[in-house]
Amino acid sequence: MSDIKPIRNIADHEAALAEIEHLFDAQPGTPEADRLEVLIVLAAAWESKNVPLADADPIDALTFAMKAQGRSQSDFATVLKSRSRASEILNRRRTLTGDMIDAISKAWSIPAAALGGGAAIVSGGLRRWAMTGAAALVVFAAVGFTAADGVVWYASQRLPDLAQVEAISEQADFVPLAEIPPHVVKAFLAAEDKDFYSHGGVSAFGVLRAAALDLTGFGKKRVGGTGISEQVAKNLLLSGEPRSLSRRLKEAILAERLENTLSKDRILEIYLNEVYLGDGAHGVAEATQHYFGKPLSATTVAEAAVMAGLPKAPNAYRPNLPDHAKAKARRDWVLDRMANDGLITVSAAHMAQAEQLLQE
Amino acid sequence: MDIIGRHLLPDFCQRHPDSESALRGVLAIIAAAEWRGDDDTGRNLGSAVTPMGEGRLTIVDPGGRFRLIVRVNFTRQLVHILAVEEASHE
Repeated sequence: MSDIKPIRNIADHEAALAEIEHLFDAQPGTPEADRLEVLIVLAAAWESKNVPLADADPIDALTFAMKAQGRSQSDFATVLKSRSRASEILNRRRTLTGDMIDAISKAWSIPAAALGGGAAIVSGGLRRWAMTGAAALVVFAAVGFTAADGVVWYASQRLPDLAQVEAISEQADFVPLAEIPPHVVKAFLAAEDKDFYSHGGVSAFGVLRAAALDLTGFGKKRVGGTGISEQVAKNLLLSGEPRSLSRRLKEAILAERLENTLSKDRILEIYLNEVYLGDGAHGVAEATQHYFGKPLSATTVAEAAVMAGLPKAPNAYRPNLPDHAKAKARRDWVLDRMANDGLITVSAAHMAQAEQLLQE
Repeated sequence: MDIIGRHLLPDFCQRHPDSESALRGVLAIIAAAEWRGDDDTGRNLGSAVTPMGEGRLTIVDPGGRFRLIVRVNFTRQLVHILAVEEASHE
């Protein structure tokens, strides 16, 4: 990643496109995919600045789709329920209304955004990258983060609705924070985000720094993006989206929006109810029942530490695996963290570490 | 979908000015689309699109003025324009 350079001329651009072709099918989550992502952004930025093309007219898109799908003006009149309106629109004497766009989009599977006016001949998301953020990426790939706000603005477009996060509390088995034992909460804070209650939102610079460090591969461990708010954003709002620079930025921005919208207690409450803990178990109540066969209220400190160790690698650290070594090491690490953070006493940690992972 | 390879288009439009509005139209559709596979391309572009295998598509202008050859990465939501040429070009 370190040898990626800004695209300054046609030759640079062609070289970038050639490499994009080479990396085209890179598997998400690999260094090759990260490199592909940056090259795409750089190439699009150069094209946006250097390729003179006018924005598309919705009627251009409509006309092309109608011809491609073998639709006639009469068909169009049927969709709009008006021959005169159909004629006026195709002759650009009248503009499409929202209702018309909905009707056409549903009837003929034409993306509504292509009919909504202002659809750019250049690509959707990348145009925004190119206009506002790619310069920053060029810089962060090489030296710094001067246009961080622009990049973050790009990633903030087309984000899911935060209402989806709140909807989880309507589930019948949702457990209020007040009913979650304090040592369970402490265990998760120690393992996942010890500064959860003290850190504020995510700065544009911080977002880019984390993304740049991830992409440039400085150090073996991925950095950033592991806080509780970001996990909630990722798990509830961005699940299924392949890892990419844009997803990475979206996670951070959604986390910031969550922190601006919900209280810390509320975010933590949602997190403890939705976090995936292996073996199909979501949330601490379900996991307690699944692994330990008891209600959440009866969880011990050691059991809380087992569960708090799971989000990092739920299937690798499950306590019900035949080989307990990894799960025990992970639990003991969590207990050490709890003791170091002053959440439990050192002697309580030692006592918990002496316990078996699962009761006989 | 994100689109790259647009640098090929201005020169073609200059040589074939009657192609410009249709090119703008098809690219607007692609940019607004969220293709997950060949079925989606067909739903949006009908008979104008022909899958060529390995993510490659040929999109022929129904007006017979041009054809685009593109490569699609459905996972990344990326369309790379590889060529734009006269529809009659062999």
